[in-house]
Parts: sequence; structure tokens; C-alpha cells
Amino acid sequence: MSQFRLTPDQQMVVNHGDGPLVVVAGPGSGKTRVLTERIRRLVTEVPGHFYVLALTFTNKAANEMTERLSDLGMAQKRVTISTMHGFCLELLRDRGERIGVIGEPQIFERAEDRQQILLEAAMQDPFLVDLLKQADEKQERPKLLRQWLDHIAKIKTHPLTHLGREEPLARHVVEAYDAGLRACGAYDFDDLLLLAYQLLIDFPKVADLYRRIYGYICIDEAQDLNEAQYAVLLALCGDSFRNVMMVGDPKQSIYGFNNASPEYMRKFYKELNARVIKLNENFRSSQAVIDVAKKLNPQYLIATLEDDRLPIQGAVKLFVGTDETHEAQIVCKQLEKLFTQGHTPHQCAILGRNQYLLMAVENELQVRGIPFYKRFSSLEEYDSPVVREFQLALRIFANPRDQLHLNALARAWEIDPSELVQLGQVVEQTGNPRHFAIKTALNHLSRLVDLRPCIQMLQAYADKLEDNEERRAIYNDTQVLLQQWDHYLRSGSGSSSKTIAGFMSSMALGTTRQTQADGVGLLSVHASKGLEFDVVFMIGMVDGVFPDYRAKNNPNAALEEQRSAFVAVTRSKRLLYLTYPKTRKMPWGEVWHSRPSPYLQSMDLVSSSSNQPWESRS
Amino acid sequence: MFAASDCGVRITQVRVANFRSLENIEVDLDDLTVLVGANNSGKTSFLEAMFAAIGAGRRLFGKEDIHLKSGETSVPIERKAVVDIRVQPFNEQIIDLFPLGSFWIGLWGKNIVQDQYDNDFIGIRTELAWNETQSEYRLERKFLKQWKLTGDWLTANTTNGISIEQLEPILLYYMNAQRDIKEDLHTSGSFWQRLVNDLGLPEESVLEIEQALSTLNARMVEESSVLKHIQKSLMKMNNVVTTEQTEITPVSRHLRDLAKGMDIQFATSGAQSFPLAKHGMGTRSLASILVFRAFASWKALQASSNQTQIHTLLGLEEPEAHLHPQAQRALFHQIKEIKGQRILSTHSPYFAGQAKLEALRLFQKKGSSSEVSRLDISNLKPDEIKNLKNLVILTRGDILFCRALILFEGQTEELALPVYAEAYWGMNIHELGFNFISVGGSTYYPFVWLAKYLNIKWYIFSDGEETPKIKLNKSLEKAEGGNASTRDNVFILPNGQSIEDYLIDQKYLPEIEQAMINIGDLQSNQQNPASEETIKTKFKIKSNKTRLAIPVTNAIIATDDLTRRFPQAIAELFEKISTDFGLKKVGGAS
Repeated sequence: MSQFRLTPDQQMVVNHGDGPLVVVAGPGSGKTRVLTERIRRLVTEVPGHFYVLALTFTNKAANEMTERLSDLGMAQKRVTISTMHGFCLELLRDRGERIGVIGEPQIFERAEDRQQILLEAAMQDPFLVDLLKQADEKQERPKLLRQWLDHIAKIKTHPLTHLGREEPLARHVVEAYDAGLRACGAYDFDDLLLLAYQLLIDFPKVADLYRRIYGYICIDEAQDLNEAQYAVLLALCGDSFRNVMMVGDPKQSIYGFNNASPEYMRKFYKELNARVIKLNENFRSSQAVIDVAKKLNPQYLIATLEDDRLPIQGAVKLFVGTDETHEAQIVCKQLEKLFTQGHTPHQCAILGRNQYLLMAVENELQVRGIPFYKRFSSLEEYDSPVVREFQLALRIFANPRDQLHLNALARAWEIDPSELVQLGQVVEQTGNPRHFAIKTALNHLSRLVDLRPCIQMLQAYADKLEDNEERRAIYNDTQVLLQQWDHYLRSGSGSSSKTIAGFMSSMALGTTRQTQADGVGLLSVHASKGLEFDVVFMIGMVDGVFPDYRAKNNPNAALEEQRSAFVAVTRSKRLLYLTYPKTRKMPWGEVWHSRPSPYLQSMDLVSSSSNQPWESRS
Repeated sequence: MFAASDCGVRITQVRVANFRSLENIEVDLDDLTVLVGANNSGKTSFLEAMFAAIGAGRRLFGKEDIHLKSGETSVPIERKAVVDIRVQPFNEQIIDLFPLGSFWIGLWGKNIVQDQYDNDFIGIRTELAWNETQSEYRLERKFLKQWKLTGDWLTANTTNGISIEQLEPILLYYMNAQRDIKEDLHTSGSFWQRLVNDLGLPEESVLEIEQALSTLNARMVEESSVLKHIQKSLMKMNNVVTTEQTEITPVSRHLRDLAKGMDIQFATSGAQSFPLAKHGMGTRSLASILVFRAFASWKALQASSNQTQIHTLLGLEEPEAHLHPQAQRALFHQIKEIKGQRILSTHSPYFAGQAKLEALRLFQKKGSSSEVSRLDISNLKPDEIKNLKNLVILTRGDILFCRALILFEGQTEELALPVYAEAYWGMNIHELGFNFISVGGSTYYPFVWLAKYLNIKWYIFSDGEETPKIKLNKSLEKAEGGNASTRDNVFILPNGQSIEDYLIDQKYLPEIEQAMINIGDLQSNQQNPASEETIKTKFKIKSNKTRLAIPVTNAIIATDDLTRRFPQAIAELFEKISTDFGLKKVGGAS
């Protein structure tokens, strides 16, 4: 790994001994490398019996670090690399009994699910139900619920400053919501941090054990810490433990949501009087990307720590194709050009609002022999009803108290939820082969914790279908599910026994996704969450596609679309290309003229008066 | 900050379920734990179960190791044997936490668990279960996430697999009763072989010695006419197959092969020394244990020079095998010197008698499964503990193996009761497995307590005098609740009488007189017999009591009237014992 020599500053970080350290690492300053090299030195050169804990924010970062340290051999076992949420999940799973967390915490990661929980909880609360009833059902009620969810998130992510000091209404909402979640045996993401914090504070001996195990703690992307994460870290350290290294760049704080702030990185080095080392050698910028991101989300702030040095420019460009094939050719030509300039395929990604947009570009990549991999799935993106429903059934299997998803499955099957308890009987009544396939798969699971045979059963069901599209969808979905299961089985040496509950929470945390493969990434926007690339193409930027036409008259969905666009844009670290075809061929043969996405207007890439782009090169 | 910390570990508790006769037991382990109990009571099964969990070496376990409930003819396929082991940090005593920087923190890391008092431990679960894909019984080991209460320990959560490195530093070496240094010397994998496999000679020396061996070989062949003849004949092979050279090596040329033929010469002082293999089983068994001792301390030495640690356990079955009592006691001290934890199973009262009371674990079979009990002496006062210890030593450990305990106060009873008993059942009390114990000062409590713990039936035969009666009731109150009048295993002489009073009262004066005559205390004088008062007075003189006890008893059991051979109170005691043990009275009238 050490084929490159470290700069003196980098070497200083690697050689830092005990005590707190803040590394302010500018873009492209070799942050990850410095981090992994330091960990390597700690476990190979520092004598003693201890482990090193490395906390990251994204699974991708965790995977990258794990990969870079994979040559450590036996010493690798002494390094725990995890995301913050993953670490807290494990802490709760292994030691949460003291605060009432029994077994594997099941996470409701989808906003809709949490909103539903809140709605149901509020409807049963004499005080809140009045407020809901006063609100207009179509417009104001969803708004009220979203507002409440924001309150909840704010309180939960601020255990140091807000918790216990909230207003009576807010407290009421949080309590009702938490009660609703717990009744389903479920937790949300913020709970993972909050409960881990409470566990460490209320049971200081637990934190003490972790301090004896971990000789050093390293935090990656420290600029993205939120108060809850910072609180967990402080609780872990207690009064005595100071071997903490934070690496981050306050300028790159992009998790505007999640209540993150570079404030905590600053606090850490002020309060603990940490040594500061700056890595400025090599700047790589994304100013252009940040500019367009800001246009999509005006609340998106780029914070600065001390000096206000601006990053260099970067680039955002628009390309317009005559049709989808042409669009694909433009993208591929540009890619090839970038490769000649020294970019490598795995630093590049092509994103589409949905996976079907990427078919033309996939063909083109194949024709040109450019290596690529595809990832379209995240939890909510199964196309086939049978796999969607099987996944609901898995949730219920993992957590029998999960009334929410039981109801969802019951709705899908058009039966009464109370009947669903007796799955076998229901299936006999409905006589629906899809239901039967799911039941058979579940039966198998109750004997042996192995998804593979279940997947074969679902595929066998698909083979009997006449609709080839659905059959293909099932095969695609089950393939993805199988990959995730495979990845789950391989993950986490020495962690908990493999269970369906463990699989579900790993999926929620996104840890079951494959580590980055070689080649250009072909990703749906949703699947791109948490990843970053030097070069990002967002293709199919057509009105009706992105934002989806169904969001037109639904402000809620429209907002979600806009957030997705923001996420997609911010996946790029350096170069961002947005493309759209002037015409699109519909599956039934018609050719449609397309209007550019309104987002392109927001980004000032097309003028609002005419639909003509600023520039179009090929 | 990470200075090597001198912290050891101890296995403090072992739980076994569904392993052979062990349906569900829990055994606390000390540094030295002594398993006692009848044959087939589960002691060996327990050691084997521990071996399955952390044993050094390979042994196959299978279907026949799974517990068969009474009435079952075959083992249900889903039943699995489970062995849980709890490991705690130790530094001269059990300590709460693995210290910062200790080897064990590095070894187990996040798998360290905290109990309800926040104390660190490691739980290791071993399961022997049917593996469908492999079509065989397989051992699987996991870390435990909790150490549950005795009642539902099997439901404890586990984490995924333990790596070999995480298990390796804790090893149980198991020596069964068939150990024999003669076998060890030539069996690969024995402690002997493991020790001598690498002699630790410097490489130059190995070369030098092997060269010397070659020279030796050449010289032997050269000077031996027989060998030379053989070699010549073998050379003829060259005519048939192409061989470069034919060579005879009377002595192995390689040092490591030579080690396989190593022998030990052993002599008692003044006698001719001859190889161990020619010694008796006792010596060979003993030598085997001593080799283990060398092995264990060598291993510990090696570990500490590599900055690692090991924790060695020795499971030793019947250390007393083939040894005479004196040697057994000597061996006990040898075993105490072995490093690490030792678990001994023994049938030897000599051996058990030397162990601390709290180190004993009693195995008993109940139906098709075994039960284990231990002594918890934390409730006893220091003098009570002393009494018990003296008792165990006094009875040479017999008490630990007896079937019934008959307690009383006074030397007369101590001498007389065994004689009555032998006459009553026609068997010596040792054959019967009964222990007759005189307790000083009527302090019955520790003995009753011990008997209860060991699950031994107990009986009290007491004077009717006021002070002993009060003390007796106090003891019973403490041990059992209730008093003498509510128990059917307590017998008190009526009307405040001592045993002497009682015999006089029961009109045994003729027999007493006869006894006194028999030992010459009285002249047999038909014309001028001693007055009743004289006999009574003589009989009750303190200094005469012990002298007269056996003669009087012999006289009574020899009396012509069969119905009077056993005084009423003693007969009642024996009747009760007969009922409890299904014994038959053979002496006197039935």
C-alpha cells in the first residue's frame, strides 16, 4: 500500500502518538490514506494488547478502509471499522438489554413508515388527535406530520442541548411516536445514536469496557458529525480517554440534513485541546458542483473553519442528445476522453432517476468495451410485487411485533391484518399462487436461516408466469436480494449469529450492498446514496422523468424528488455532467419530444424562457 | 499505557446439558476441584464434556455422547449437547475486570461480556449437534452474550464463531485412568511426545550430533559381522532394481526419530535402575502425571517468552489408580504443584480427604441423569468449619463416600453402636457404608449440614440428659428448622437418661455383671454375688465407661433371650435404618 511516500505532514499524522488529534484535511489531501496508514502503524508498531476503532459516515468509506487494510493479516482483526450507526447498532444489540433493547434492533428506515407510525400514534393520543382533526386532511395534515417528524429528529439528534428541554407539545409528540415505534418493536436511525448514548451514560461500566478494548479511536469525515454522534463519542471517551483522532474538512460538510455541523469538530479540538495538523498539499475542488447543489437547495451551507480559502473551480456541464441513443454516445465519448486525461472508470458514475433510463447507455458501454457495474436497488426499489411482499414478510418474520408492515402486507393482499397472523390459512383461502410462493419460502426459513432456497422458490414461481416482464423483474429482484444476503453472510467476522433480523437491520443500514466494483458505476439515484465519485453523469434529465410526472401535483413527492436531485448532484466531487435527449422513444413505439427537467433551470443550465440549453457539445 | 498486565484467567463455572448422563448440571470450578461420587455418577462424562469444549487434541464425539432420557430408545435428531464455560479474570483471586492492556483484552476484545454487576467475563458455548449437510455430529463453538440464571441458561444469546486463536490459550488436558508412561513414550500426541518433539537444540548441535550418529552407524555395520552380511545380501537388489546404495542404520540417523525411542531409567534408592516400562502400573501412572507437570510448566514458560499467555487445565481421572494410600497422599501434593486449574475425579477417600471441603463436588445419579452438589461453607462459623475438616481427616475421607451417617455424643456409643450394628445386620459397618460419628459437645449442626449437602442419610442417637438435648434441638433448628420431636431420624433416650442409665433401666444388670466378670472386674462368685448397687456404681464410674462399653455390648448381644439382644432404643434406630436402606435384621429375634 505504501508505494507512495507520505508528505512530512502526512507522516506527522501517521506518527502521532497518544492524545487528541484533529486533522484538517482538504479535498484530495490523502485523508483516507493517512487514516489507514496511521491505523496500520498503531496495530503493527505500537506494542500492547488493544484494538483500534475507526468510525466512518458511509458504508463506502468503511469498505474502502477495510479494503486498504486487508493486507494486515491477523492484525486486521484488531481493527474495528464501522459506520457510526453500525457501531451503535452493534452496541445496542450486544449490550442494549440494560436499557430494554432486546435482540436485534429493527429499524424503520423509510420516511413513509415513520410518518405512518406517527399518524397512528397521534390518532390514539387524545391531545394530538384534536390537532390532527383540526387540520385539513389532504393538505395540512401531512404538513403537520412532517413538521412533527422534524421536531422529533431535532430532539433526538440533540441529546446534549435539546433532550429534556423540549416544549410540552414536542415532548408529547416524541413520546407518542416512540411508543408507537416500540409497540412495533422498532427503532429509527436517530434512536440508534440516542440509545447508544444513553446506554454509555447510564451504564458507565460499558463505556469503561470499550475504553479498555479500544486503545485508539479514529473518526473519519468528522465535519459531518451531528450532536448525537458527538455525544456518543464523548460518552465513549469519558473523563480519561483521549486517544481520539478526528479527520475531516469543515469545508466539505455536505450533510446539511441530519443536523450535522462542522461545529463539533471545532468543539472537539477546543474542548480537548487537541493537536491540529493541516493537510493542504493537494487541493481538488468541487466548487462548481457545490454551486449547483446550492441552487437546488438554498439551505445547503458550506461551512468554513478558520481560513476561508476557496476550493478551485471544478465543472458542471450540460449535454443534449437528439435521442436516447445519441445521449448515450455523448456520455460514452466523454468518458473515454476523461480516461485519456487520467480518470479511471471506478471514479465515474452514471446516474438515472430510474434504472430503465440507463439501458441505452448500458448498451453503448458494452459496445465500446468500457467496464461497468450496475446497482439499482436499495430497500424500497423492488419492482416485482412478489419480492416486495416477500420482503415485507421477512420484516414480520424478523420482528413479529411489526404491526406496520403486517398491515402493509395485508393491504397488498387485500385481507384483514388480523387474518394474516395465520399465514397458512390465509393462503389457502386466497388460493393466490403468489401468496403461496411467499408462504412456502417463509416456511422454509423457519427451519433453516438461509435465504437461498427461498429465492429459488420465488424464482420457481416466476418461471410459471406468462408475463415475461414480471418474470424478468422477479429474477432481477431476487438476484439483488441474493447478493445482499451473500454480502451479509460474509460481513462482520465475530459479530452476531446470522439471523433474518440481523439481515434486515444490515439492509436498513445499507451494509449489505456490495463494495464498489470495478468499472463505471451505473446507478439509480436512490442506490447512489452515500457514495461519491470524481465524475458523475446524470442522464435523462427530462421533465416528467426527473422529477417524476407523478410528483407534479403532490407537493410532498415533489420535495422528495428535489432532495433526490440534491443527493444525486452531491455525489460528484469534481465533474458533473447533466444530459437529456430531445426525443424519447416510448415502449409502444411512439416518439415523444421531451422538455428539459425544471432542475436544469434551477441550476441555470437552461434558460427558463426558451428550452434551449446554454451549450451543447458532443 | 499498554504495559503488559499480569492478569490470568480462571474457568469459574461449567454448565452441561444433554451430554451422556448429564442432562443439565452446573459445576463451579476452583483452582483445584475434586469430583467425588459413585461409579457411573457422571464424573467422567463431565470431564469429557469439558474436553469436547476446550480439550487439547482431537477426539470424536457423536450420537452416543448425546443424552438419552429414560424411556427413550434413540436420540431425537434435534437434541444437541451443550457445554457452557465461563472464564473470568484472575489475579491471585477472581477480579472484576480484565485490566487495560492485558493479553486477554487483546484476545477477546468486543466479545468480553459484562454480567449484571458489570464484572467482565467470557462465555464459551460448545454445541454437539447433528449436521444435516455433513451427515454427522459436529462441534460448534460460539461466544455467549450473557450468562443467564441456572434455570434458563440454554436460552442465552450467542455470537458467531470463535476463531481458533481465541480459544487456543485455554486448554484442557485430559488424562484418563488408563494413562501409562509406557504408552506415552511411543504414542504421538502424548505429552511426552509433544515435549520431546522439539528438543530445542541449537542447529549446529543437531548437525554435529547427526553426523556423529552416521559415524556410529557406519562403525556398527563395519564391526558387526551380522550387519555386514545383511548389507551384502541386500546389495544384490542392485541386480534387479536400480538402487544407488543400500545402507543399514542400526541407530536412527535423525535426532527427531531418535526422540521417539527415548526411554526413562528409574530406580528407587539403593536398587538397580531399570526402564520405566518394566515398573509397575502405579509407577508408570505416576510418571505420566509428572511428565504432564513438566509439559504444563514448559508451555507456560514458552508462552511468557512470546508475550502471550496460556491457561492450562488438567482433567485427571482417578489419580489414585494403582497407588497405595501413602503414595496417594504424596501424589496429591504433586498435583497441587501443577500450574493452572486442576479437576480431579476420585474414588479415593485418601485423596478426597486431603482436598478442601469447598473443593468437593458430589456427583449422584438420579434416574437416568446426574446431579451435582457442592459445599457452600460460607454460612458456617470458623469452629464449625474446623470441626468438619477434622472430621473428614479423622474418617480419612470415608465420610465423603458413606451411605449413612449415624451421629451421637459420647465414647460409650462410639464403641458400642458399631458392635450392635454388626450383630444386627450381620455385616461390618464399613461393608454397609455407614459412618458412626461421635460429635463433641453435641454440636450436631455442621455434620447434619454436611450430610444434607452430600445427600447422605443421617441419624442422631442422643442422650436424654437436659444439656445435650437442648444443644441437639438448637442444631436441628439451625440445620432443618423444627426440633427432635418432629423428626423420625432422631432418637433420644427417655427420661433424661444416659446410655448407662438406660441399660440399667432396661434391666440389663445381669449382662453388665457378666461383662465385668468377663474382664475380671468382678469375681464370679455364685455364693456371694456383688450387690446391684455395687454393679451400678462401678458401671457408672466415668473411668470405667469406655473400658466396659464393648464387653457390656458383647454380653448383651450374646444374651440367651433373643428378644433382649438389642436394647429397645437401639433397636428402634436400627429398624428405621433398615427400612430406609431395605436391610434385613439377622441377629436376635425378628
